[in-house]
Amino acid sequence: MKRLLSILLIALLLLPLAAAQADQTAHIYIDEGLLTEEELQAIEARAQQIADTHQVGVYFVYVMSIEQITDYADQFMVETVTEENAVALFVNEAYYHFAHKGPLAEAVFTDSVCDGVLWETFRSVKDDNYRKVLSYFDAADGQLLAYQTNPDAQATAAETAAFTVPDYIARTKGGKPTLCDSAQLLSAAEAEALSKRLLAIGDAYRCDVVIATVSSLGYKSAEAYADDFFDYNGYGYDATPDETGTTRDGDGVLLLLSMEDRDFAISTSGYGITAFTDYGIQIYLENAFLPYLKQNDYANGFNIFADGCEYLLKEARSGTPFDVFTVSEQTANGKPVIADMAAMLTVEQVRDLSKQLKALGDKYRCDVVLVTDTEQWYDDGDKNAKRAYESGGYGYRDGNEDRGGILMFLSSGGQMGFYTDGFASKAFQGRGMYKFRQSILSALYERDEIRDALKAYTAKADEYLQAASDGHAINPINWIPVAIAAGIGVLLGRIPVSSMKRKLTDVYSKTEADSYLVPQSFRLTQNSDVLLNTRVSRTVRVTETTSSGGGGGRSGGGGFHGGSTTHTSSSGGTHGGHSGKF
Amino acid sequence: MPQQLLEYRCPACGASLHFDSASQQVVCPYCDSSFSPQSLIDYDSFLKEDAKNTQSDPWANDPTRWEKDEVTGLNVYTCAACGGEVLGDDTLASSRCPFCDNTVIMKRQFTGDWKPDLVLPFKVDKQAAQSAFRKHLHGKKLLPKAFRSESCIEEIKGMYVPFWLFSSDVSASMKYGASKTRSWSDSQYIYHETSSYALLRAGEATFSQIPVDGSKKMSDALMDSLEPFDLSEAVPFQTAYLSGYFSDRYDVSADDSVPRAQKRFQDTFGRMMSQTTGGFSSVSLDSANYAERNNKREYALLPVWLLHVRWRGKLYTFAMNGQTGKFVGNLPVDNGRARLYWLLFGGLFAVLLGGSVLLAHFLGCGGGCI
Repeated sequence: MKRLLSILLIALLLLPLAAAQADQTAHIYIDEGLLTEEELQAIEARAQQIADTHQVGVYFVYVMSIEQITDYADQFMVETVTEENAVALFVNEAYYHFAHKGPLAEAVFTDSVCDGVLWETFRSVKDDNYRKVLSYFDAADGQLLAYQTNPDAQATAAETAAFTVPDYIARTKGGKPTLCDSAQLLSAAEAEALSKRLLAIGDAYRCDVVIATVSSLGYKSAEAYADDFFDYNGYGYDATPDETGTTRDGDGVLLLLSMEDRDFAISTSGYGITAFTDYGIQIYLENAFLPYLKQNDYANGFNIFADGCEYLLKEARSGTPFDVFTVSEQTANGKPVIADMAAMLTVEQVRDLSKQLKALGDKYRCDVVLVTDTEQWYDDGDKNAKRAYESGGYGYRDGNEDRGGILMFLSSGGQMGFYTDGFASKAFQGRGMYKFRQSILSALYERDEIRDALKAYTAKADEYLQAASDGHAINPINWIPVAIAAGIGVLLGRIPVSSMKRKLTDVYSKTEADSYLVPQSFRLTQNSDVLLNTRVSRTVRVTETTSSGGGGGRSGGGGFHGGSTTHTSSSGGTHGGHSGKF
Repeated sequence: MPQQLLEYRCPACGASLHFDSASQQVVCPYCDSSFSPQSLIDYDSFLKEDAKNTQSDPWANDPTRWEKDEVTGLNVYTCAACGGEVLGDDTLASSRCPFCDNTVIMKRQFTGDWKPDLVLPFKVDKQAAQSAFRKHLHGKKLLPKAFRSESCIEEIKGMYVPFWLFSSDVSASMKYGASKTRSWSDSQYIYHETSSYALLRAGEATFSQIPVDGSKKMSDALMDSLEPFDLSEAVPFQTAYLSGYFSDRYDVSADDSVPRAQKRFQDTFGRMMSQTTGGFSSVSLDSANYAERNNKREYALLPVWLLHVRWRGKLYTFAMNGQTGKFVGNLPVDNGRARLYWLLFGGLFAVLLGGSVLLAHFLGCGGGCI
């Protein structure tokens, strides 16, 4: 939860910074001079009131000189905080950081609440230190109040209850509306048609397909809201709700739109997790409907979503759920020729290209593969390519002969890298590899089309592997460094010559009197170093890796997994899906 | 042949004596008698005392000034051609200038000048100088081949060259500006800290007998290159040591020589001081003040063999330390041969380096390489 403050924020944060000492009360630790004594006491009273009402301590620490904010926070939570449950905001020169303690605080102050509500509230108040700090305590109080009077089940039920679903909306087998348009994005006719379509798909493939729109998420994340909406409203084909109306792990898929911050979330459950793989959601749902939502064309967007759901369910029910590896051809070892983890290509492109690459692989008995990823594990594309090659288990093995292969890595962050092994490392080497890379890059830059780069990859790989098979791998000599080295050699030749010349001259003036210094006569009578001043300057550090390693549900080290990433919702149900902004 | 400008007569046969550097004795080339310089001086002064009956030790009143009547037997002459000065007795009417070989007409008398305090006797002889010259030519690959065969030594002269020896207790105070830098980083910034310091240093050191050549005709660099002389072997000046050698009188005064000595001890002192300023990332000298106490200057005659070698119309001067045998002198360079060697070494290195780059290419050094 450690976040960078923008430069702007630093500027508008509490201004007088002369202080080295700190002002403190039981719940507030700040640099001296930012608040008057009365203001400090007033806010402390507010903190005390929160602690009395909710038994949750709310702390505010604003000390510019803290160096390691997370270490400081850990220590603070153990040593200073007295309550069983507590939340604290730490701010230094560059970061803010939230820490909480105890189960209640953990449940209320989730990451999204801390970042989205507490920090945003604090940040948005300007010019007045007192109101700024107080707003943070008010926001924390508000969250606690909302949680205790309105826990998850009631919150969602209450909101749904407040919106009356019209009668013309088709209902699932379980009697729930397939479309819950509380943000009123569709006309009555559109809504009716869409709801019938969703019902038809759901019934045909025995899996609820639901769309919900809301105006605001409250303090929840889109993902949590979608999960809870699904569970607490009792969705799921053939699901059995418990006495409170909650179901767990019923078969279904739900698309949630929240208009306030234009969030969307797709939540899958039960058979929906099987049918809607991460890759399927990316390719057939998000890539398809997001462009429409961005243009506020909700009717078409939802229909495209329905199309995608129908296709993915049909594929799944016919035996193989649509996934990243089902589209691509396989190498001789049964690995996908194209592992398009970043969903950068269309399904047709994957089919086409994987055929071509497989043909090359068969022809030269050497894997020619492509891997795309959303993550950049290393700063260097070639390292990422090596990682993909090794974790993907690539390499053409023919009896005892290691024929290896070439892997091209592309990241959605715009990184490209290559890794070669076995026979392929002989085919692509030295300056030949450099030229190979250049020709793919220039194909890419010409029209900024990945398709062009991949076409070049196929053609050039064929050319290089052919040349290597014929026994003369492409590796042109670059004469420029050879000439430079030879030139340096010629210049170096002067060194022995001038040393020979120096032997002819031995008459030099003497400028020192070292041998006339009486031994031990040198003595220091004064030896003092006076510190005049110290200046500190700083430069922004260039981060070395562009992404954090190992996130999400995809495993950190072990090759590619298709399928679906899952998480557990507040009701305890298991969900898949994806969320984002539109 | 060099003239013997200062003469002592053999007490045995009356012939001219000269100082033999091998035996460190004054010898008579005619009757093979040999005398220690001291006994000769004693004998000489006895004769003088005997003759004058009144005169005591000639140095007694002022040990550093020539006595009036001693000077009557000695003259300094100036060569009209090159300005070189030659020491000789007043009976001598003419000589050859040791620097330019011109005939010198000796007219001027000298009085009231500094008398040498010390003399360092010759320890190596003329043959040693000749063989040192041949050794000097040995192993010099860029020396023109013809120089070895065609060059001829025009003259070898043993000469006492006048030097000023400066001794001083030097104290100095210095101020340096210095800085230290330190860097560290947190997750967002890299910090650079620069601390500025003033380093105050003061110290003292004693320098003893820094020699400065007091003769204009001798190139300063040539004389510097002959160092070091072991001055502990120097003896109080006696004219007896000059027998058989040329001698030269100073023509750069002690006062004019002081700056050269100062420059030399300041250089050494400055370096010793700057060695005490370690641990900083940059140090620069802001100011330095030197003060000298207990200054002492001595006038010494130091032994030098001078060789004049003529080759293809040009005169090359070499010098040998008459005490240690150290031989110096610049030799001509054969530029044709220098270019040939360059071609040879340059070609060799070019093939080696260029070849290794090619080799790296063929061995393959990964995708990122050339």
